[in-house]
Amino acid sequence: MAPDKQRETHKQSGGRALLRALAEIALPALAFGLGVGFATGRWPASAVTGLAISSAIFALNWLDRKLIHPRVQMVSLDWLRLGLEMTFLLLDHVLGAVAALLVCSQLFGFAVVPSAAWLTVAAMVLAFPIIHGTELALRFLRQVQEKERQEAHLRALAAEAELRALKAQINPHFLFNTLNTIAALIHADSDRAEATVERLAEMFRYVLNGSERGLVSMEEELAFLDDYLEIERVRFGERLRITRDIAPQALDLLVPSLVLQPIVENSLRHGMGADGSIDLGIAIDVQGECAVVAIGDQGPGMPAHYKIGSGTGHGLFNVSQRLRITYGPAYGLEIGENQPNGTMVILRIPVETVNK
Amino acid sequence: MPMRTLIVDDEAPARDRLKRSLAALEAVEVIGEATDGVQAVELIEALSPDLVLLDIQMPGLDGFGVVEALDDAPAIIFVTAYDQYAIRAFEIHALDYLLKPFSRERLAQAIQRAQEALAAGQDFQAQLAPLLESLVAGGKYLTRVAARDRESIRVLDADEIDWIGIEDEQVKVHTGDQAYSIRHTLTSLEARLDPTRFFRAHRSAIVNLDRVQEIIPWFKGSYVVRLLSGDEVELSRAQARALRKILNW
Repeated sequence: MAPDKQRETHKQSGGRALLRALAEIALPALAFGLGVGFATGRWPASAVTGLAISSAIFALNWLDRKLIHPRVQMVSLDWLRLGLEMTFLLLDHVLGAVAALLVCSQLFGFAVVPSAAWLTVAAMVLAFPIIHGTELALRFLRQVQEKERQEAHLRALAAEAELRALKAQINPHFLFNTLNTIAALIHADSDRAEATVERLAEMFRYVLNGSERGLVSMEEELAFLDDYLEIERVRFGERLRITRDIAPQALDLLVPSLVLQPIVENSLRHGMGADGSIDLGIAIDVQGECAVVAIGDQGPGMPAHYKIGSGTGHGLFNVSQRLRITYGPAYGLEIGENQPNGTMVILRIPVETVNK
Repeated sequence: MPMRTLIVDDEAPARDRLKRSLAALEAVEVIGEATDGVQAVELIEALSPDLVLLDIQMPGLDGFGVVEALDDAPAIIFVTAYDQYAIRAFEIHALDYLLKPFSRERLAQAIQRAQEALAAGQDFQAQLAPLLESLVAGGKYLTRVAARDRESIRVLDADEIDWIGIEDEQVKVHTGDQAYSIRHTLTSLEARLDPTRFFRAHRSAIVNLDRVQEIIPWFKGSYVVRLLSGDEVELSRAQARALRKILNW
């Protein structure tokens, strides 16, 4: 913002504050002045008294905002705070009015005696904080509603993102390539064509059901992975070599569905060696309360600037997000280097087993 | 006379299916098969086919990388299973492509179009240039470059490149202590590499900013860039000003 413009805005807001102070002092002053006037019948003195009352209230209110509970722009979702604020508002009015009345009655020599007229003045003094308080409470409620609306919006967004992510789970490239493979096998090797169709059907069934079930057993996840790898083996042939090292107790683990296959798919895409071969290693181990899945390849390794979620690592990002949402930040997905070369993706999942 | 045709696909079943379908067409004679991008470039140069059926997704050098590496492209029919981005690019530039699994009718139609284009003496290289440019415009920068190492072809990852310069009227890519010739002009390479990483230091040099160790003041406002590999590249006065902005130095 240009300095000139900034000054102008300052002046504007300064002007508005002055106007507000005048309204907050002048209007109650008029009301209180009239009230005191009717109670005492001494008009010039009561005008000064009215002004004194409202100035005292304003000053107290100002002091209490500045010193005791600086008002925040956004009222927090805190009923205690709202209650305190309203109590202080009431105290400001009562104390301010009583103090100003006592001083003025001494100065101008009128008596403050309990009477109907004086009760009216007291009611007025009380009415102002009630009006203020109502306004405050309404503002507070509106903000609560707004906050709830925002939270609902966020929840809807998250659900939508989840749905999109699930839809993306079966890579269309994989589907069409597999259909092409089947078309080739129908003539060349009809038994293999048949087996591939069966596996593809199994995979689709798993994806469709898995998105509803949430947690599945590791055994089911591995069976799905095998279907996938067998289809890829038809395409890659002898170039695809797989080593498995899976702890027997790992089969009963409960895991979110569709976490292994996207990682393996990523390894197949990026983990190819210079001669076009792929050495894939899948290891699952249970270490106390934590299950560790390691999927490694012997490819050229990830580029140095690779980040989960950037560009093509879509599948990995998806899995990482789902693990984090399900289990919290202590679990999830890590990308590291494999030995002697290549990439290693490690999943950490808390141990939770199928009840048998 | 049938079109001498090369098949390029990394998957054996896909190649088999294509061969089988092409065998029924008299207009085509399959003269070879390549199983990856590098082999494709080598065979295209050795055999000079009339037509290439080129798969896009391949390990190492992909279909676009093959096209990049060619000086004089034959007729090309691109083949892909699913690549929305590439398909849009083909549509825009009126290039023919096949979606796997394609029908025999669709294949026959593509072959016939290629035959007509060949008969009309179309300049395929000129036709492909705007495709490569549009891929860059869409943020698909070169990630792999096919470079020549005497007789063979080496695929270089863009990450491996230290700098690119001109020597003896040849564009050379330097990685570590190796230098490879490449069939590109410096300007066309500059346009295709990721501009946030590759910087034109001088009329005759591009440096990978990830490999810069230090920038040393030289004469009259020019500088010398020292790379991690120990190589030194001159940084012109005008480009030093531009680099100053990028690196905030």
